[in-house]
Amino acid sequence: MSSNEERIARWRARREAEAAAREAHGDLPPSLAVIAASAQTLATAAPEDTGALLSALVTGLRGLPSQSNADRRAIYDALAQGLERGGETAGINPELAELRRRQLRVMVRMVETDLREGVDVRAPGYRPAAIEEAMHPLTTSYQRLLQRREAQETQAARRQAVLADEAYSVALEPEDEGDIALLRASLDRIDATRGPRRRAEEGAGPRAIAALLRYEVRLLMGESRVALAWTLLGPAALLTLISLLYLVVGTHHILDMDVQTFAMLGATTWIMFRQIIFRTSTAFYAQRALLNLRPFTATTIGLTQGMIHFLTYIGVFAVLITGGWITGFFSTPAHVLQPAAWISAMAAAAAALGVIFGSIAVIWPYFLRFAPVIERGLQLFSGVFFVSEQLPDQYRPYLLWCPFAHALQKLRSSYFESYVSLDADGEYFLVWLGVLVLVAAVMQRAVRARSQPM
Amino acid sequence: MIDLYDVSDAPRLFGEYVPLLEHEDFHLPPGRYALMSQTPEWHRPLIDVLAGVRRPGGGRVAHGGSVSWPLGRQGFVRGKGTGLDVINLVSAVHDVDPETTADLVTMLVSRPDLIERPLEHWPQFARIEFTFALGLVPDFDIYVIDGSMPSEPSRFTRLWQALFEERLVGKTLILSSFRQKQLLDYCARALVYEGRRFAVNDDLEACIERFPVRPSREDSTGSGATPAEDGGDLGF
Repeated sequence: MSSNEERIARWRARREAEAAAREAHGDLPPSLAVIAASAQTLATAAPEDTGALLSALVTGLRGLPSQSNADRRAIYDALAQGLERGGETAGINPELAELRRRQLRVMVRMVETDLREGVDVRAPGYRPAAIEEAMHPLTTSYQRLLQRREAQETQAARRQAVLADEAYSVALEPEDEGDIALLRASLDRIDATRGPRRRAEEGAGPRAIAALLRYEVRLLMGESRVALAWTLLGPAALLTLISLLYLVVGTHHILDMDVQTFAMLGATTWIMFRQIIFRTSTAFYAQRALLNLRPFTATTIGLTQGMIHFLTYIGVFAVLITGGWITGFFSTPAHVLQPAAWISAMAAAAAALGVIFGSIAVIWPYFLRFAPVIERGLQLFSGVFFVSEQLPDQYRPYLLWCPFAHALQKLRSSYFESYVSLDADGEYFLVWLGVLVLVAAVMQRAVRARSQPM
Repeated sequence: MIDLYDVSDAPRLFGEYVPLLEHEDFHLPPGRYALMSQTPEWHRPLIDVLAGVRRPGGGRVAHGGSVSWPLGRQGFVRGKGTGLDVINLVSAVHDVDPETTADLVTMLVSRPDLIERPLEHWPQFARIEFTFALGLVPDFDIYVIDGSMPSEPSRFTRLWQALFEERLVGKTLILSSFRQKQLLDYCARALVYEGRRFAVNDDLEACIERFPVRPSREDSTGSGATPAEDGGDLGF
């Protein structure tokens, strides 16, 4: 192709571009319309790409008369108009259009500053100093706006899903896809194997109670490794004390009962009794975190604690009696079931007292401080150290008002072949037990609205 | 669905007895509700009654289906028990398989290594993740959430939110949160507590404008566990 033809082709292209520009920007003079048309395509460039816009601006300044402020303003306005039209045609988002406007404004300001300072802005390769630093905040704020808009759109979509009661699909990272599939499968398996659905109003079933027992035992074991040893040490220490009292004064048998076994029965039963009271009342009042699990009430939690300590001391009895029988230290029981029944009855009385104390503590927490005092007082009258038959007749009523003395004497009476308690009245104790259980039931009901889950 | 029949309640809050409800008869149809009121600090005892974890002073609360424990509270996720102990307990109560539950929870949370350690040694975020992960397991009909849901950008949040969205379809939700975004993201309507009464308001946005959202205190019910004074164990 000859150079002449090339020239003609270029001229034709320019003519066509000018015609198109005039058509698009008919409101502008032809020379400015070309500038505006050249800016039009820049609207859709990458947000951080400002080089093309700068070169369009410099080209305009170079190609057109631009000595006066008014001339330059016309060029800048043409560029702005081009960007606007380009943005509108391409349908870019409002955030990007705003970014273009700001980029042009900042660029114009920098070029004008350079002009005033005598820099040759029309020279080839001209770039205002620090243009990158000036453009960077604009791009960052654009990114921020974009993120905000995305968040708004997400929120609107979520809202739509919520109102329609549909599952909104949360945006997951690619690496989550495997996990979510596994988790879904796991949930499906759980739903499929789930037992009959619990009605909300149902109480705690046997499985739940057993689980609570297991949980409480785990907590107890967590308290200390010596907790279990301590349950044995307590009775051992108290029985030693009682035995010593008698052995020091040379008594080896009390009403045909040997002192060690006599002391062991009193001490272990009493320590079980007090432990059940304290643990039940404390759990009733203080273990309110578990109340958040619906079927459990303060009473369930308290009684579970009582049950754990009852079972523990049954174990302690078994260990002590077996050990004592092997070593010949304790005499063997004449019956098994009867003493066990009396020990259980004492445990039931303790649990009832525990619930009563716990109920009082819900209203007056300080009351639990008195619990040990009350227990010490009861200990004196409950036949732990002696039985009523050891006392002269006129003093016996001071002991026999206390129902627990009756139970302990009945226990010893059934344990030893040689001792039959004439004073102990089983019915008296059982009536008391019934009353205690009734009072406990009424009191726990009265305070259950006040036991607030923690 | 929750029905309140002649419910009166006056629990002790912040040191005084507050009459929260007086002979309230109310029917809450199924749906997703944001609990809103002028007194967010009373939401906790109200949620106790709505979720049935505390009996009101008078009257009866009936639920049409199974109810979750109030998710988002520290609740029973504390103390000397391990994560596995709590999983076993909750699984038994809600009749789900404990092993699959433990698998799911360990797969979901950020710190599965903690699961066999006592909860009292867990960092706070791990406990929150644990309680929300566990809350996904039983398929409840009514979800009660007292507190903020997981929202910080993390793997746990993404997975939990995705699963919870699926769990929630067709269920009832009662949410008490101080995060407005979560109220809008999860609730369709407002359950308004005003003047000792409950009411349902369809315009959640207007309710959010009208009622303050502020964090309620974690525990309004006074001192917690006072250690038992049982003297020496030796009995003398």
